[in-house]
Amino acid sequence: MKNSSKIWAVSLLLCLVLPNINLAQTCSCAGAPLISSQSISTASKGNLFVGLTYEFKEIDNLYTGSQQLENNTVERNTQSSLLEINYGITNRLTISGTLTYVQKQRLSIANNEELITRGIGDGVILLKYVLHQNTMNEQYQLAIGGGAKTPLGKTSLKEDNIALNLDMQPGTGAWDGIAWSYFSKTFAPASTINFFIYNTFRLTGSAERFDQNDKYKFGNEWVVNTGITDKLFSDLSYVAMLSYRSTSSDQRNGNPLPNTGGKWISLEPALQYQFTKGLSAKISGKIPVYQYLNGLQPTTSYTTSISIFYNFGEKVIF
Amino acid sequence: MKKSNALLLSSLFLLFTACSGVTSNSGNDDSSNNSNWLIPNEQVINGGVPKDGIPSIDDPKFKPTHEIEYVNNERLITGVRHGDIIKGYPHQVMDHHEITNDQFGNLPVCFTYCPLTGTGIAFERLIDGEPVEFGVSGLLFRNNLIPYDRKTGTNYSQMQMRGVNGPRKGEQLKTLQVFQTKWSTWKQLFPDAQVLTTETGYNRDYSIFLYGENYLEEDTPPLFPLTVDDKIVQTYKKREYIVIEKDIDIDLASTIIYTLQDFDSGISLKRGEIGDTEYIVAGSSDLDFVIGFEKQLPDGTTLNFEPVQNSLPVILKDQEGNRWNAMGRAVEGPRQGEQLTPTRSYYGYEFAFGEFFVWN
Repeated sequence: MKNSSKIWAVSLLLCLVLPNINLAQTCSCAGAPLISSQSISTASKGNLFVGLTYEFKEIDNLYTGSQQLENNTVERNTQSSLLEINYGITNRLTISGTLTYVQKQRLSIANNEELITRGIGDGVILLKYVLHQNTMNEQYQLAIGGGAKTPLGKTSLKEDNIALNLDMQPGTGAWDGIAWSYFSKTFAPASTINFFIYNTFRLTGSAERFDQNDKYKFGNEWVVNTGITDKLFSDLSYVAMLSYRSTSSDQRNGNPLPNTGGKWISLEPALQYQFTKGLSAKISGKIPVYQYLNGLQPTTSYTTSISIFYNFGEKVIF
Repeated sequence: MKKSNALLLSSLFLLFTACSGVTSNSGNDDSSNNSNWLIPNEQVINGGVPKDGIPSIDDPKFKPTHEIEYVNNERLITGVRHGDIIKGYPHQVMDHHEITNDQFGNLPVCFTYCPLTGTGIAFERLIDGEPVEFGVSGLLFRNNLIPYDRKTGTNYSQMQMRGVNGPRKGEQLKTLQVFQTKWSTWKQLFPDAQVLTTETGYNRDYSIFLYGENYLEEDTPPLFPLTVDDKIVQTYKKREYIVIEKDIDIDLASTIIYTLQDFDSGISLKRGEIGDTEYIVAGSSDLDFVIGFEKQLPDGTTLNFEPVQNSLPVILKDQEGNRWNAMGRAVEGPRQGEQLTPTRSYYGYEFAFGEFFVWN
């Protein structure tokens, strides 16, 4: 089977499976993982690099501050698929776009009532610029980027003709600004280890909900990821990453909302396999290590994801 | 880019978007039109949790006031009276549960508390003579709790005290007398009353302010927008007490609203008339309570009340020499043991009474 046919087959499989899987989001942790799941790829001139990711997020922990409580009322999960496309405009400038499809499931344990919402989620468009290329003499790479989260997702889903809360909608309804930066360091020829750190800041905008009197703003979000990657065998690599995420409280009409916002630290191991020169796949997980949540909130107990990447050109810078 | 690659990319995009769609699946989807509400259904919103996502307390445990240690002196408690039985429900527990399905002797009672509107109201929980449990529907009407009953599925407006959607739409709930104050005053008024404990069956931190301490401040707006332009609102959270005309449909009933701060620091009285009923309202801004009673007793006698200072649990005396406690029970005098008739009343935030009884 040709590589392009393989991608087709896997994509088709994902799309067929998705509608039948229970998909969802919570107060501060439930959207499509637009920020935390951004691939770190930057393409060289004329190169096209495509990634397709499926992520499952189980949201059944309950926290107040850093104290975990027994959760016997509501369970939720969010399933997202993300199509990410990176194109190298020049050797230093890359344009990156992400589209999402989101499904959210909410189960009331007491009466076994289940609500599932699904739809196209918000998208992201980013421009990434390489400030410093990795060379043998100066073995580090530095890039910055900026862009916007675009409100492609629907925010008006209803149940029994009553509008659902924003955290059960596929989209947020707001334009957000995004700033991104990336640094990596290699140690050749002594080692094949690659150290990296990248961070993303999302300055959120407001969305009108029910009328002009209701302007809802999700909290600003800051995500820092740092870790190492290295080869285990010839085509198999590992990634060991630590992630810090912080969100401020959501606001309605400028007033901070209780039980939103917090801080999370999680461990994210991943394995990546290079099938061919252009085709690779990655499987990863996310395990919470510490969280401090404002008020009382449900939060993620674990996340798993699987990605396939295809590089249509010769080279990916990083 | 090669032609085949461009074709592949286009196909990927089409495939991705073709998989997209919008459906809702929780018994009903967004094409259903369950708009058969007694209240403006466009003002009914989903509060963010599913039905029973806020768990009611269905097996409440109580201890006498003097054995309760978890309540802070300045935090509020609502008491409910039926006959001689008085029970207290601290708001710091009710913030997490909103409904307690309880029993007052042989009478099944449901105490409901909406943290957003600050309204605590107790209902008899009987349908066709049978006990029924109430739960939190997850819906709100003008920021106010919509309880539902687990037998018929009827949704009720807490502040309107009636069914508003479902089989029992339009049916009025029978209420019990409520009394709200701060814990330090409660301890002086009802040292032996039964108070809800934190043994609720749920693992929660009952010491926190679930909606943030600043939610209780007067100038903090409610969680969800008002139905009127909030430029007309100076303050939102002044605590108030409403007297509602009895035996009249809530849409037609006259109402008179009292603000806690309008009372002296000591106990003072206000006299009023609603419909054909004369009543008095006793209150103290320092002790943090307001309570209303009809002036006329069931035997036809009309009493003239005076406030009593520094003698808790007694707050009133009359021309016959009776002394009355805060629930309207004669504790001394010729009528000792008799009960005053309470007004049809409950407590709430200023904006909530505005939304339900003044602005709309």
